[in-house]
Amino acid sequence: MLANRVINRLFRMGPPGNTGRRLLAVAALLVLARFSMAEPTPAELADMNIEDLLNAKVVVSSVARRPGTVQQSPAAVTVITQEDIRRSGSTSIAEVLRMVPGMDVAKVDSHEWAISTRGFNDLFANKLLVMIDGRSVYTSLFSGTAWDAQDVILDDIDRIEVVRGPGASLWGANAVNGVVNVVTKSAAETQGMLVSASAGNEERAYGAFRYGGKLGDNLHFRVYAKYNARDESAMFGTGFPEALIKIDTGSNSGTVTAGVPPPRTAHDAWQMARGGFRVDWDPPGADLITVQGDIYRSWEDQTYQRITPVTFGAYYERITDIVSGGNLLGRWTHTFSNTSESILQAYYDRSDRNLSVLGESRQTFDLDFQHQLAVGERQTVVWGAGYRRSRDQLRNTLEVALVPPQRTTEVYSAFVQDEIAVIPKRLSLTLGSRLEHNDFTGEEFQPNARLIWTANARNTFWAAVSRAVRTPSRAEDDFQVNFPGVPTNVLFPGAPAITVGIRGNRDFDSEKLTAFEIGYRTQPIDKLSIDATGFYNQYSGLRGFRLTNANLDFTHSPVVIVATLGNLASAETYGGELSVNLRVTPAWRLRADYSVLKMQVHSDTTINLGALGTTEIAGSNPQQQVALRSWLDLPHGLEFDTTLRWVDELPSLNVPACLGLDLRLGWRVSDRLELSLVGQNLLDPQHPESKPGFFSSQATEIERSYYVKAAIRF
Amino acid sequence: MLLISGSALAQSVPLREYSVKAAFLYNLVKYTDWPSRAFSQPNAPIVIGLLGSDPFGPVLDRIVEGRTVNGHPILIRRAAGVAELRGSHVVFIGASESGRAAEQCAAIESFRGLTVGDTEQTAAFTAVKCALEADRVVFTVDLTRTSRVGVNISSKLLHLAKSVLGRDDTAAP
Repeated sequence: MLANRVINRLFRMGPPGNTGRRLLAVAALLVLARFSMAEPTPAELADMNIEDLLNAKVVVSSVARRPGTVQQSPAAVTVITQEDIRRSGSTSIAEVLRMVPGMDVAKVDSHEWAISTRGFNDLFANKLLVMIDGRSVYTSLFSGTAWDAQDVILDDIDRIEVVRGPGASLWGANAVNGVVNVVTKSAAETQGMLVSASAGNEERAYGAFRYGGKLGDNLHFRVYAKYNARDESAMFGTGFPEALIKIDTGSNSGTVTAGVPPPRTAHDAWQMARGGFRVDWDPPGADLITVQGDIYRSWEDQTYQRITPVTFGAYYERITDIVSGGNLLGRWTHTFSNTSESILQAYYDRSDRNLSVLGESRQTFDLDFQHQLAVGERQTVVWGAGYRRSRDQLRNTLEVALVPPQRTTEVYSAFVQDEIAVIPKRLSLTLGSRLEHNDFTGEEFQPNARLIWTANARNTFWAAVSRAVRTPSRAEDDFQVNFPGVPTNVLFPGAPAITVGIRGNRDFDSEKLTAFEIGYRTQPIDKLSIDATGFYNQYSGLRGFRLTNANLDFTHSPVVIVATLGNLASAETYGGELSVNLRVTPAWRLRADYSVLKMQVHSDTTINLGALGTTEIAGSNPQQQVALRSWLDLPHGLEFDTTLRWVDELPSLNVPACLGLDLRLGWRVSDRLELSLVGQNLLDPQHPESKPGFFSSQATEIERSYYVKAAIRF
Repeated sequence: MLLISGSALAQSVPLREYSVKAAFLYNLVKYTDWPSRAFSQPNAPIVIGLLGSDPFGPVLDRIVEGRTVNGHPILIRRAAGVAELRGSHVVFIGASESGRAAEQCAAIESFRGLTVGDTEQTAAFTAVKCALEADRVVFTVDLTRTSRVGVNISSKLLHLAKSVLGRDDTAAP
């Protein structure tokens, strides 16, 4: 197998040893899917008539000057451009993702989101891989994304590329149901000063400052700082019993019983501050070097259900969690020739999540290498290898403990992908696979095959078969979670407490997916384009829980009924996404999106733990979603943008179907000044979108929101 | 059998952003009328200047290679400073000039060069602004700036522009 040859070549320095000093530290990353086809010659370009030229789909060239080929790729791809982001009125990366057809973006509280696509969504969704400028923001704590820690100045984003469906053969384990890649502009593209500020009822205060300058010939930089303060949400359901809520009054000063707080608010206000820089050195010639970094700190009000020591009853704690961290990334792109280019990238990421129920400090080091080259006239090969090391230190509590509290895990990987022009400009076959070794499950093999047929000028068909795995998380291996149960003395005087505990399992194996996808893109007339995809996914070895120990030894308190995690469920999902784009006039664009998802879950789970298990997962994902969008340019620099969105009910979470309306009125006063007025979720005063996972925190509803914003550029 | 028309190419093959923008520059030259005083002789070249970083590479040279517009061949000139581009008919402002685009554009307009930009920072000061919208190249034209340079852009091209500024506002400076 080609993949094995590559592995052998990489590994010829000796077989992997057991220590962390193995030298297989060259890494793999494909920041963009590469399914490009030959483009016309310059003479053909010059002969194209201007209408066709302006109608031509453009390969979005990346900051690193690599062609990213997203529109013409044999996968379900959506690209959100800077213009889309600016006109969405969204204030976070998470909210921007609502623009992707079939993406389920459900806000859990002011600072937490459940985001996934093609099912299995919850706060700890673990089948969507998210990257920012090539840095994976996936945490190995729970195999997902902590959205509260991810942000940039949205004006500095060049584009967001989203792949629905597996991308594991290129991107690695956990790119099971989708991949999100946020790409920021280069420093040269963000020269000058940007000052931006907003104020509103929910988006209380926002301020951002960015300055870009030149350090020398071909050497540009930018620095930025950003601050957000968000209001608390409304309460969803009855809320926790106020009498049992304790409020943390600050650092180490203990807890006091609450007074009488204002009713119906969820006490989840959020503040975040962050800053960072980027430097690009682009000397004439073959090299491009980027260094960038960020630091952030986030203050997150939260109310948790906690366990009273000894008696094992429940009490509730109102506290401000602090989440902070930073990262530093370096990337070197070297072009050997028009058809050969390599990228070497390394980053360090640190995150400190000091939550009431669990403290986690994690340091990740990642090294990636990839090389793309043309082989003969008809083949383009991309290969690469990667190494990642993640080290954590936990602060355990009675509710959540990870044993051992400190652990280091490593992943080694290599991939190769070959794109073959079977019939040039017409039929293209892409074969690829990724092989990786991780400390949880050993070797994982993730191949795929993709075929794209350009039938004629206006019709393109593609089909793909892929295998992807979701590797276990640190939590699934090692956690010990306890829930408040029956306190002492309740059953009879002197009776022990009875509680339920769930336990991780080091024998837990990867969750596996075999995915079948088809797609069709058509442009029946110049103004109209339609993108339709369908998928059928088979999952095996999904996570579930079984009662493993109910030894009711009443001589010890508490009596813990233990459920252990295992590969206990399987599922079939099927559905599709449809996106219709209509450019009514050059100044008016319309888009309609529809998606449908059906999930059938078969579970051997014997204890129902909500979304953490699998029995209720089908009912916590919307079966259907509809979105209608309009972007209208008016005279005098005015813009009027509308989004109408309908999301199906989530019966497992008692979340009703929801119709939402967002409006934005923008005014480009001059080249330097832009004003906007944004209203979000305008159709009802409040509505729920999701519920927290198994850390029992206050469930919330999203409120109607208005804000005004001004952006000035110098 | 595999010959595809230009129109087919437009639909079937995704083009590189800067290939399209390079071809757009060529079309801009094609659809712009310069006063005769802009040329020293009837067959003098139309000069396209590239100021600062060059996003096009060889593709722009190859697109204009051998082409003439109203008898004028097209010449590409690259330079790091405005002074060396004096006399250019069109100047594309590279991303590297973002921090000083205002001054550069004023200097170019002083020798009646038509300015083109495609970044947020440079386009704020240029007569013609290119941008990507979704996956297509769109452009806008600022007529107050084109008239300052004394050129006429054909109505065919203006018709394809996403927006045309300064059309009803001839009194503006």
